[in-house]
Amino acid sequence: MSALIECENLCKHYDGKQALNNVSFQCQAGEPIALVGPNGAGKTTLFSILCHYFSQSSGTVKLLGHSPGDRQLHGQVSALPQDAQFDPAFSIIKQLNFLAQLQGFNKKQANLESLRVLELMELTQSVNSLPSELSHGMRKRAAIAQALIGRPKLVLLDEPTAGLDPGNAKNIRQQIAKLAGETTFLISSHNIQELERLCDTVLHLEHGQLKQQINSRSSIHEDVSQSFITIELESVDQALFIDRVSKMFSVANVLSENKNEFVIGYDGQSTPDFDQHLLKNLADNNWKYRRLIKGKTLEEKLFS
Amino acid sequence: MQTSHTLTPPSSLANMWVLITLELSRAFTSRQGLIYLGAFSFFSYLFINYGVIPFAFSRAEQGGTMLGAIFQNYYSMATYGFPILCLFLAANQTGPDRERGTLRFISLRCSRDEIFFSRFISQILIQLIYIAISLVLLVALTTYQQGYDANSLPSALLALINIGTVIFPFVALMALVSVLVKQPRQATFYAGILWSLSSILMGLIEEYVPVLAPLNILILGMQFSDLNELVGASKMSLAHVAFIQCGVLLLAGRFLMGRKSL
Repeated sequence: MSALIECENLCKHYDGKQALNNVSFQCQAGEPIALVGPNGAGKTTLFSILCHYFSQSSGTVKLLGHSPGDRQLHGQVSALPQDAQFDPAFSIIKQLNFLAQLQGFNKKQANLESLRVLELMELTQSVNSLPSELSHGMRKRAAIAQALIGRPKLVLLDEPTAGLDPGNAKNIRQQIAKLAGETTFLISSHNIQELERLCDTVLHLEHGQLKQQINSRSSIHEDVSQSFITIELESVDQALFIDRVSKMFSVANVLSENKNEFVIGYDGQSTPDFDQHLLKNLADNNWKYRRLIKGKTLEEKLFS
Repeated sequence: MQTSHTLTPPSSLANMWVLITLELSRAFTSRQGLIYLGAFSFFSYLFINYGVIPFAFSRAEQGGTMLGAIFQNYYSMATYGFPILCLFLAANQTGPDRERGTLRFISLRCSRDEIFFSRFISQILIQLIYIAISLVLLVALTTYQQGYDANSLPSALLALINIGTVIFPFVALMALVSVLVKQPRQATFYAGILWSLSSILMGLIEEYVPVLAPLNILILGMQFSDLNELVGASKMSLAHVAFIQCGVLLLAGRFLMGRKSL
C-alpha cells in the first residue's frame, strides 16, 4: 500500500529564494500530522505544492500514489488554503452545494452534505448568508466545512484555528479529533499545544528544510539512558524546587525555561516508577501541580 | 452515507456543466448580473429605437427592403458593439477568483482545463443571450413600428449566428488575459492595448514585410469591414477567421492556465 504523502528531494525556488530545499518524508494514513516551523519556513509552500496550486522546481510528490492535481485525487484530497475566500456573490450553502456537485454529489445529496458539514462547524444558522455577512471566524469555519465535504481521505489545514475565538477553536479541535479515524489531517499551525493534543507525527520545517520528523507521543527519539517528566506547578519557589528534586534518586538534571514549568531528566531504567516518587515528594512539600507529562512537551522536543 | 470514496467521480463534461451553471446563475440571478442585464436592455432599446430603425429609412430609400435596411444597420452596430462589450462583460473569467483564492477551493475538485474552458463557454452563452435579447428587441420594435414581416425571425436567427461567431475570439481573448491579471478592469485595459497594438503591428508588417501579411488573419476584427459588405448568410463565409483566432487564443490561454500559480 502506498504512503498517504510521499515527498522526495522536494525543492521549490521562486524570486531567487529557496523556499523548499531537498525535503523528503513519508506519512501514512491515520492520526493527524502536524507541520510546524517559523514564519517563512516553507509550510505554505509545501501545502501549495501538495494541493497543486503550483508545481515544485524539482523532486517528486505523491499523494495516495498520485501526483498532485491528478484526477484521481479530486474529492479525495481537500484543503483549507490560507487566506482563500468564498465568492461574494453567492450564499455559503450555494457555494458548498456547488463544490459538492463537483465531487459527484447530485443536487439533493449535495445539499444534505453541505448541511452536514456546516452543522459540524456550527454554522447552520448562517447557511443562507453571503460571505460578507459573516464574521472572520465564521468565514473560516465555512472554509473548513468545504474541506470536509465528502469525507476526503486527506485534508490539509493551513492555520485552521488562527483568528478564531477559544470556543470555536476548541470545537474545531474536537471535530478534527472525532473525524481523525476516517480522514487524515495535515495541520499547519503555530499553536504547539494544539498540535500536541491533536497530532502523532510532527514535521518540523525550518529555512525550507525538514529539520526533523518525530512522533509527538512516543519517546523513541529520546536518549534511552535518560527519561523525562515535564511538570507545571502552581506558585512555587523555583530554586527550592530545583534543589529538592535534584537530590532525588536517579535525577540527572532539572531545567526550567518557563515560569513554574520544569523538565526533570532522570534514569528511567533504574527508576521506572519515578513519577510515583515525584508525586510523593510534591505532597511532602505541599506543592500543587497543574500538569504532569511523561516525557518532554512537543515544544521542548522541537526547540530544546 | 455517501462519501467521495463511494461516489463515481464526475466526468469532465459533468464538472463543466456544474461550473457553467454557476456562471449563468451569476450572470442572470445575482444582483449585479441583473443590474447589467437591465442596463444592457435599456441601452439596446435606445440604440434600436433611436438609431437602428430611424436611420434605416435613408438606407431603404437607396434600394432594398426596410427590414433588410434595419438588419444592415443592426449589423453595423453589433459587429463592433458586441466585441467591445465583451471586453467588459467577459473580463472576470478567472482573475477575480484567483485573486481571492476561490479557485483554490475549485481546483481541488476539477482540472484547470475544466475551469478554463467552462468559464469560456459560460461567457459565450452569456454573450449569446445578450445578443438574443437585443434581437428580440429589434424584432419587437420593428414589428410594432413597421408591421409584421415573415422574414424578421429568420433574419434575427441568422444575425444571432453571425454576431455570435464574431464574438468568439473576443471572449477567448478575455479568457487569455484573465489568466494573466487579477482584476476585470486590468483585463479590459490589457485586452484593449493588445488589440490596438496588434492592429498597429500588422499594419507595419503589411507595409514593410508583405510576405508576412497573411498573418493578419490573427488580428481580431480584421474581417469586420468585409463583413459589413456582405449580406445575410454570405457573412458566414468569413466565420473561419473568427474560429482560427479563437482557437489560437484558447490554446495560449490553456497553456498559461496550466502553469499559473493559484
